[in-house]
Amino acid sequence: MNLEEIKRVVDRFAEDVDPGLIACDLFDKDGFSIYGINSSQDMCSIFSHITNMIHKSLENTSFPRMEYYTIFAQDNKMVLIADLGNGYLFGAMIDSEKARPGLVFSVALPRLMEDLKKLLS
Amino acid sequence: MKRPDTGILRIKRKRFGDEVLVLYMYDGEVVYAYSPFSGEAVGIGNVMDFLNDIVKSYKWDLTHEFTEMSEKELASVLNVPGIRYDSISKKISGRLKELLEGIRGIWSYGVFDSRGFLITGYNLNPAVLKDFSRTYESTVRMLKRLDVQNVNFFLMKHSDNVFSLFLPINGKYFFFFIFEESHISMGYVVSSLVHEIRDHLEKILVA
Repeated sequence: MNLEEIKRVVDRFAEDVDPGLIACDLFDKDGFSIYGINSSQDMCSIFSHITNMIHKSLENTSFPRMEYYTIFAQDNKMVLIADLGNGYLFGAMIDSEKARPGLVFSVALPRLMEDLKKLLS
Repeated sequence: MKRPDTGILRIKRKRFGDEVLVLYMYDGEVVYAYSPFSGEAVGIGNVMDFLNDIVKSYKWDLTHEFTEMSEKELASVLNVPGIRYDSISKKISGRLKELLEGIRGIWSYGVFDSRGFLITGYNLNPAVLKDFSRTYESTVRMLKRLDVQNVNFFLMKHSDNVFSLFLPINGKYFFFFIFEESHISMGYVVSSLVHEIRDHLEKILVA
């Protein structure tokens, strides 16, 4: 695993989302952080648990495979969790008023997912 | 013969555990069945096909096998919480159809409560709803530990440009919607459609 490259990709995501990024982490399916900004072990383990529950719920349906999900909550808080495959997840807490969601979903997130998937494959 | 929206089916087969099932019908198909005794849904996969075969084979005229009852009669006999939704579903479905009609790429949508009872829906398998509402409740509980309060909605991207939207209404009801992004702009869904649907559902379900 090339940690320097991972840092570069995650830092670029933070710049794309700036000034809306509150925290973000790349972590494994057990919730252990690999690299993050304002990293939080609580956030990693909770997001990991939530993602496992969602995967289990979707197993009973014929829906296509989940790639990422977002949760829009009070105070403009937006939670974003991307499934990168191979047991890796990326989670971010974003202030949706400061971050321009259009840019997050159409540029920052697709680029981050593509680059991290390559680095983690 | 007029087809009922709800009814009681008496089945003498051990595979269901009970001899009585409450059936929900939409467009002549059994879309949801559950036991009034255990409260558990039984309409999954082959079981649903089996129930539809039974209903169709009786051609709705063997009243001793399938008893058509009014909403009030059903409620008084069984005290089933889902029954009261019959009249609400009519109020909800008209405006929902207006909002979603004409949008291409819709796979399915539906409104259901926190116990997983379907209120109204299109092309939605109600068997998964109970699971969805449980997952939502656990997720909200865990998010509170991260100081994320009052979830407005969930948006999930699946492969093949398919999105699903999960919109809680007052914490007790949910709107679920699955669509292809190639036909609908995600920006329109998030910034406009979600709010119109929430306004409509709140007027009826929360008032």
